[in-house]
Amino acid sequence: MIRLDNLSKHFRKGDTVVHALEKVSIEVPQGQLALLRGPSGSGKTTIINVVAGLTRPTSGTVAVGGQDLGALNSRERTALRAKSIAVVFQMFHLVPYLTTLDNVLLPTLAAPSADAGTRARQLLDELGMTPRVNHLPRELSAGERQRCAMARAILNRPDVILADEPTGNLDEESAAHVLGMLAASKAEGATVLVVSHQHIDSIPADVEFELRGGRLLNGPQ
Amino acid sequence: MQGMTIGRLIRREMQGAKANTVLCFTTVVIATALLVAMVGISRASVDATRISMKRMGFNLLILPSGTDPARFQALDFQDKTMPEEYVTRLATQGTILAQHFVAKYQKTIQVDGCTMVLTGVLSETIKHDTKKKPMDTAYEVPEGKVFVGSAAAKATGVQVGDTLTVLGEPFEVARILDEVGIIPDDIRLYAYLHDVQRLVGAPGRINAIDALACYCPVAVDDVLAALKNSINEVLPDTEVQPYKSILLARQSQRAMMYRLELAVLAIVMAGSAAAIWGLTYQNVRNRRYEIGVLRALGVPDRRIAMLFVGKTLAYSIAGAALGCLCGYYAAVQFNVAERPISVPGNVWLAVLVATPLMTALFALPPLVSRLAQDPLDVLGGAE
Repeated sequence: MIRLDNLSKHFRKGDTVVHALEKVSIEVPQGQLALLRGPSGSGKTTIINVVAGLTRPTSGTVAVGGQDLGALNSRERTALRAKSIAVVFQMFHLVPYLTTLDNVLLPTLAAPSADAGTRARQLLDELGMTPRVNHLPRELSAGERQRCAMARAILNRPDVILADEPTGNLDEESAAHVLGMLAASKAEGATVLVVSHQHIDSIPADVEFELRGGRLLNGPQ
Repeated sequence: MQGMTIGRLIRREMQGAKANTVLCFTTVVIATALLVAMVGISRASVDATRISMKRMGFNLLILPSGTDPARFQALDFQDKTMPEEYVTRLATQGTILAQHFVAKYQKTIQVDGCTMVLTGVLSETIKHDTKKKPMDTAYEVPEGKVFVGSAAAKATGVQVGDTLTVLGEPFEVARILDEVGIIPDDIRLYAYLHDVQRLVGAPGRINAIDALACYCPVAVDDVLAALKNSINEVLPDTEVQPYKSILLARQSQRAMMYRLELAVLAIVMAGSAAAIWGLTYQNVRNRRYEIGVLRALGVPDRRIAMLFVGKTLAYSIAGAALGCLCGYYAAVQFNVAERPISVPGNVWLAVLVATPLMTALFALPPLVSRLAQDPLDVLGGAE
């Protein structure tokens, strides 16, 4: 479960204070898939970062799987990410000197798994990436990098998956693969939060939210 | 394959960032090679200086109390004597700031119409607690034989194997000494001390002890005062006459070499450390993005630190080992001293252990600084 209560996040850019999020409250029940929509700059990525514990909110609370992130120190939040939370970044954040397969295997540095190699190859195969397993990120297209990041996120079967524009760089076929994987993860019991600047018809969202200027426009739809 | 490991990630990073890895490795090789080469060359130079200064000969003369130095210098050795066992007493006293003692009995005599300084010597008595090599200017003359100074040999025309009559007693000429260019050394007639004591009727007596003052890295006047005190405490009825110019030259030359060695080593060490620090710091800084990714994936700080420290250890251990070999080779090639290159074992060990440790240590501050930030700040960007 993901729960945000009155969450605000402000940060300074030069002399200006940017109000990225203002008193946002969201709840995504365990095992559900939520779609958070909003235009560029509306605060979607900030929500992903706060829920992943990558940055701290200015005020309000964030709970993941019943665990209040505000009560955790940096090390505990890192451990929580290793165990329960995976992020598909909009910018992919692949390690440039690692091959596709090695990038997918990176989470096992934090949480080793006996069948990691087999599962990584299987996931890459499902995403149509088998011919690219030994390629470096710079040798991949944006869509291929996105699929690689997707495989990396779900390798360790996390409880919570946060996907930032997961289909933004993909063609229809690849997008279908990625969305299928998110749906499969949800079916396995994961809680999924997908943020996108557009409505995604093909995503089986249980709940949708819309964000504008850092504020939630409406409640669950 | 079960998953990613630190070792595999280090290998991949080294393969992926070859230029950086080669640069880091080369920096460590050059830094350690410079250090080892400079230690080797400066040690050899210090040693060569020590030997060269030692070749200048004895720099202390210990005379019986009451000896007139002016008459002594004029080769009028008077009849002041002291017991031969004084030399043993000096050698067995740990407090004496001198070593290499030679007991002498000197007397100016006429041999075949030539003036010579008959010099009875005992083989050099070296301090009991040292393993010093004898001085080049100390002669060990066998019983019944003589060594003839170059000027004396020229004046009398004697050759090795000839017999020379000294104070009525025949002696075989065992050696003609090389020209020194100093009187009285070139007119000396060296013989075994006990032979001379018998010839002059002074058994068990000597009238001079040659000695070499220890090297002390302090002012020469202080050394002299300390020397005289230390000798007079053991032998109160003696006078200490320094050859001040030799003593001064030895002291100042050796002190200068030690200072030079320290200065060179300090500069090389500081330069090497700065180069390694700069590169290590830059290496960690340039990989901030990677640190952010790993933290975002939930990799613990400890494991991230192992990744960076592991890489620095890998290239610095290999670099230090190669640097030691290169440094030694360079020292041998560029050795300017007439002494062999010898790098002490503790220097090898210090370089091989300290370099990797220091390099790993240099990686920690920028790493700790990155690990203390929120992963997002390291990765950059927020909508």
